[in-house]
Amino acid sequence: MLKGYLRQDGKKGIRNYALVAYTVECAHHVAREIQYNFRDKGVHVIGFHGCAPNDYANQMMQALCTHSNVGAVLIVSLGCENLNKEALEKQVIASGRPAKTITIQQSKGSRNSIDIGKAWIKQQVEILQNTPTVNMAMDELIVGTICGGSDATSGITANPVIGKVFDSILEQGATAIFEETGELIGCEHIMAERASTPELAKQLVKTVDKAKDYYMKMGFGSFSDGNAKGGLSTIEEKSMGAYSKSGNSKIKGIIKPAICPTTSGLYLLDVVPDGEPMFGWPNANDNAEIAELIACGSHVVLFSTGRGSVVGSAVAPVIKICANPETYNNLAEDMDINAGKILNGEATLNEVADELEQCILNLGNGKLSKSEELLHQEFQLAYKKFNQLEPGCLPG
Amino acid sequence: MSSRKIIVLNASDNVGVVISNLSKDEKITIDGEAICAISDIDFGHKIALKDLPIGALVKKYGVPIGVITQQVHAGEHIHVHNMESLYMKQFTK
Repeated sequence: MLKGYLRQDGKKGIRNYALVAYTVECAHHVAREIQYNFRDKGVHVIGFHGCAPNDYANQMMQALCTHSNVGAVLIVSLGCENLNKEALEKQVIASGRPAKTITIQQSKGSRNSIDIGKAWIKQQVEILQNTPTVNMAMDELIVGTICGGSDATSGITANPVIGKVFDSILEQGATAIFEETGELIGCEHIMAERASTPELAKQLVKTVDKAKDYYMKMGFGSFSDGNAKGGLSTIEEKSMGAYSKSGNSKIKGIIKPAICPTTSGLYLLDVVPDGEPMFGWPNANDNAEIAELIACGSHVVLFSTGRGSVVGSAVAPVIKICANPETYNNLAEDMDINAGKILNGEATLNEVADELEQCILNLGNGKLSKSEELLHQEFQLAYKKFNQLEPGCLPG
Repeated sequence: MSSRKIIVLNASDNVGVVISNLSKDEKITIDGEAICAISDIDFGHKIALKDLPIGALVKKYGVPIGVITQQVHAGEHIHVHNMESLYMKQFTK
């Protein structure tokens, strides 16, 4: 059993964070100053750097500001940018959460805006910290997964461990989301065999084909020099390792960023933009994908790493599962789970999977992950463009 | 073997994954067959379990993960210098 914070829509969060959300880079400094003294008190900064309008950015900001882990939102605007802050504030208030907007151009500048923001956040933190929790069942939990800084150990230890945990929590009624179609190139046909409907099977292949075309046009696959140093030779080799994070359960549907699954089950998150490449790489770094997993409702993100990523995230805790025993020894303070011990013969895959499932339960009962303890609150949101989901993607 | 040096992820694979650095000329045994490492091979990298001609598919996890571009002998390091993707090229420094 987990402990959650009950929201007006009936959903529950495992955290009760306040967000300081800037609506253009020009308001980022003020937002950061407001948050700084509260950064160890569950106050996180998120925001969008762009001034020109973008539907995806609006949708992401709205989804994150009304995320189950969020209990209050302070919007910090410069005043002349195009992000729809009015709609954002309206949505947050409609969701039953306290919201306030500070417009710097109308608040006598930086210092005064910072003072007003700090006073409001202080009030909210007191309320949020004293909010009682309610019981939360596994079938109310949404878990996302990502791998970053992969090496040849990722696909042997940490990723299959996550796959086993996915199978286990799905059986208990939870919702699980895996992603990065650009790192499923080469696995599309075996993945399609797990689709719950023939229409979905076609869409799964189509989604990976789209990713393949997109990356071809960009010139390279989703493969870094570090991947090669770690022993991976091709995108399809990396893909097979990444794919094992999804476990063996039936795939229920395909979602896109900022769309929350409506029924429990296993979902593929399509993170590759639709149409011709327009704004650059599908995702500039792991945190952009983590933010998308969270915007789809993930309460917690399982992050598998071989080379050794240290990141966490704003809005939801990240659990890091280290695949490589050598990396674990170097970065133990950043890693929640040492899956590398499977290679040393010190533990079996099933034992590490049990350990990870217990870690999720502990987090859902208030325990902090390593990245939370270290105040990692990375956040990345870039320009993107998506079309609507096609028929067959969601369960009928 | 006292300690595992390589693992083979699927019975149909033609490469193994090195899980403890291999030195040149070091001998390992896989399913009763002896293989000699032709060069040093680092942790996480692949070793050929048999001779593979140009055009042969490299199999790991029981599936093709690329194609051989230069004749490979059993015990040889298999990586970006002698195999490539069936899908797209990769960025390497």
